[in-house]
Amino acid sequence: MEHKKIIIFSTTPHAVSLVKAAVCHSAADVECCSTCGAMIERCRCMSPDLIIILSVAPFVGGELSIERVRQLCVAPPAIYVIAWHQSESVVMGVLESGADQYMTFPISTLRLHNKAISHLRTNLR
Amino acid sequence: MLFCLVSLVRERRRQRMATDPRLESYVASIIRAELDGEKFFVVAGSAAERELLLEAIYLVVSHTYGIPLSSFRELVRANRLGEFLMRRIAWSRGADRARWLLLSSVIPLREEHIARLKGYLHSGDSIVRSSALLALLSLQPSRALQTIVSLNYHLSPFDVVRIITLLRRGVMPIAYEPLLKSANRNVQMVGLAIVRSFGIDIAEKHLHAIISTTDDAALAREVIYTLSSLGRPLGREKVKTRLCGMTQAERRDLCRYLSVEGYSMAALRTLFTEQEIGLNESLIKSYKRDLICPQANF
Repeated sequence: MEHKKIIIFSTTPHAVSLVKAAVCHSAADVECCSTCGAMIERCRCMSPDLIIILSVAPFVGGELSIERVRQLCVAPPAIYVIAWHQSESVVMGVLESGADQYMTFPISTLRLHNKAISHLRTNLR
Repeated sequence: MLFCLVSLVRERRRQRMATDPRLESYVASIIRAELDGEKFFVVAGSAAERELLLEAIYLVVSHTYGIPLSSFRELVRANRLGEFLMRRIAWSRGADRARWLLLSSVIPLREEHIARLKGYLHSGDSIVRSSALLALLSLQPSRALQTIVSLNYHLSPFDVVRIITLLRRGVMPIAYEPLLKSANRNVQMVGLAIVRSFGIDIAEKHLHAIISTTDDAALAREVIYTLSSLGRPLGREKVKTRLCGMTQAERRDLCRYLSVEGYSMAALRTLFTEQEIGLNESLIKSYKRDLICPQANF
């Protein structure tokens, strides 16, 4: 099975290291991006299998569109959004705009690990 | 001049620590140990490494749930983190002290150390008080109610939000009924925050009971906001009586809040005058739009 690719996007470094450690797997390459532009560029080059976004700000501000991100990739990746926001309007907005999973902090690292690994295993090329 | 220099040095040190690769390495090791079902153990060689270790544990514990503090017991003992923290807390002031208190909330401390933390619960500095409260609630969740009742000041909205984050980590139980029925204002405020945060509709009768019986106008106002966040009808006489007792500014704020929460103009007309709801029609229209932009600009 070829290596899967995961991109993690966050503007702050702290949560990235935590999520990276949770989804790290021997059969997956994980890359971290701190700006929307960098993430879009990596999506074009890498065509990731899973994208994890650690904020809702890019969606609310209009910098990021899940539909456009999926169009950049050869095979549409799964998109997980993990943030502190709990308000119904924001969560529903993110899910309706196409995110596959929305999780709020605090998260269960075991659950995130299992979800990511399960998704990568079922999406064989 | 000296104070500015010291502050600058401290800030630079904090920024360096935030990007220190050892912090990322500790975080990764803690998560990997948790996923593998093992205990994380490392021996810190210096005060800087102890500080990084504490930061890493705080980062992991504050962003996750399900990791018991007892899993760090050996690590704390081997690195004498309890003594290290107590010294740092005693030597520091203000925001620094608050930061060290927050770091103490995520490691298992000995009873004598926890007893020393109680001394900071009544500090003159509000941020120190708030951090000490959080630390004690985290370290002794079974005594959470007693700790909150013992406070000699009113909890601020900031304190209440921080307590709710502890609940979300599973540190404290979420039994709201005894909190709402309590005679202590701080306990009731935490109960209201739980109802609001977890959207507990069935608490409505308890909320109306508080509105009917309380003499505290601020508490009654908080209850009305809680009912609004649940989307419950506000047409009862007792609610309208409380509204009449509010100042103009408070009524205007509440009207705006109800508009944002999705109450219709017809519902608002039963509670407010035409002049008060005049500005809200455009606000309602703006909030009915999508919050997430479907089309991106790239």
